[in-house]
Amino acid sequence: MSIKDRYAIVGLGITKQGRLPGMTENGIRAEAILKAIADSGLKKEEIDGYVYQPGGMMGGTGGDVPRMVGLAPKFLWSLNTGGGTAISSLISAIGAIESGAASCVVCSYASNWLSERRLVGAPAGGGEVRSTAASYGMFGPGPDHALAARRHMHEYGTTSLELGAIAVTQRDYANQRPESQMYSRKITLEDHQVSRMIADPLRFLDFCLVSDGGIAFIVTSAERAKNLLRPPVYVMGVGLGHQVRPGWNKDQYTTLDVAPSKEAAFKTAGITLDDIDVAELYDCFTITVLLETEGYGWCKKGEGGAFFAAGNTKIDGKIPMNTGGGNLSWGYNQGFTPFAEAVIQLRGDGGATQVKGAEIALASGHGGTGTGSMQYCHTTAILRR
Amino acid sequence: MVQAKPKKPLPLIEPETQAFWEAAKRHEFTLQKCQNCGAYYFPATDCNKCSSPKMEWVQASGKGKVFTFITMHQLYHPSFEGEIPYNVSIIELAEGPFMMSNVVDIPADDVKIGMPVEVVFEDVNDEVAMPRFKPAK
Repeated sequence: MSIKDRYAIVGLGITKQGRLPGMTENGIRAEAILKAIADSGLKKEEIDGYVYQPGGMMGGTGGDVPRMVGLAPKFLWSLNTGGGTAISSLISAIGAIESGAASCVVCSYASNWLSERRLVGAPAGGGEVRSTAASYGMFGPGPDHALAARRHMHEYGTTSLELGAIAVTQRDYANQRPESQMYSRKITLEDHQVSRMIADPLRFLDFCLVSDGGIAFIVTSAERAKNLLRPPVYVMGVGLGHQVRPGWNKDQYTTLDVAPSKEAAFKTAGITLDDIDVAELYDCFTITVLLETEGYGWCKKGEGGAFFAAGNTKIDGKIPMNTGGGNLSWGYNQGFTPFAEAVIQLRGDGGATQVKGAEIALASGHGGTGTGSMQYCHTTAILRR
Repeated sequence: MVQAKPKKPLPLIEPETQAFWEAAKRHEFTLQKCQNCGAYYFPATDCNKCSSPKMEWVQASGKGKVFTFITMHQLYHPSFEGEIPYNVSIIELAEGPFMMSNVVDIPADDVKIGMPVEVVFEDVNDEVAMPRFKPAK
């Protein structure tokens, strides 16, 4: 039986975004989870599933949190597909409920990287580093995505200024959302163009934020979702792709693995791209958003740069996108940032950046799973109110 | 107090890639070749094309083209102090496989996609020689 409309998001908990000095990742996660439970109206005893994206760059915090907040899950998974994890968690939660292993599953993310002053991609301090990529001076996801940006520019004539339009559009959204990390920090295209080069062709303002913050959401059956505190947000369809092919794939620097993910999600949902009212796409870097937008087909392959420069993703554009400001400007909670914003929009809680009458939202994820240069997973969730 | 200069990261040499790095030490550029259908890899367990398990490391041309590249401006590891900006490229080798490396011998800003390149080896210590690429003559 199809999962369409049989599962729902019933609770959403979001901590303050930005700098949270003195808070541990476990403390941030605990706050997000308690907020999500309170938001849902479920009793703590009803939360019998716990899926967490481990915090920390390497260590993996989060396993202690059920005890901290007084949960006794019978289904507990540590799950990490990088920026794909929110939707991977959703899929796991649906599987757990479908199989009878759990009935109400809380999924969560937490980070205190901003206070910890982590340089994402840098090897952990001290000692000898053994990594073939690092031996060539290659570090972290940003420079890897810069390889993709360069190739896209070569094949299609995409410009840094066009990538800047993505950064500025998302910042404009964040400037209208008081809870966002960059609420009071406006940027212009000129600011983007003079921001320092990190890995040419990607500049500082092509990169997502680093944030302290956490997000939790609760998944349950459509039946249990009735008569809770907030209107349910139903899951219409989900999908994944992993960009893993034998050997190297020439397209992997210009095309993310959206196709299989999109196909599965839309097939289950039984709708088409035109039915999507608002899109929340994973945005570790500006180029990522462009590649996803082309992958879904809001514009033709190679025309992403012009599409963003023309303002098609603004609130009154063809497809309002990353309406809270996203990982680039709202707060970096990886895949949980776009996923949470999709739920916010479908609840009508988007404030100044609410898309009027939004009925159906598409959220995506994109994340490293240790498979190689520009081999990232892509995840899709189609949600409705 | 004088601090020792931080050491450069070294490649991760594992059983699957040991032959490649042994050859590199002799300044020989090798790839894995399927003895059944002739496809080249870097490296693979079985041939992705014909599924043959008969894979051997063979001498390769060491020639290729720049497929894509970046110019690194961010200091991610202190051992690269003084080298920024530097190039990191994905090289499309003449035999087909892709590999990550550096284009050297020219300023980082002069590297172009499609540029023909050929391998050069840099002995970084007694155990490791790094294959990098310079513009082909």
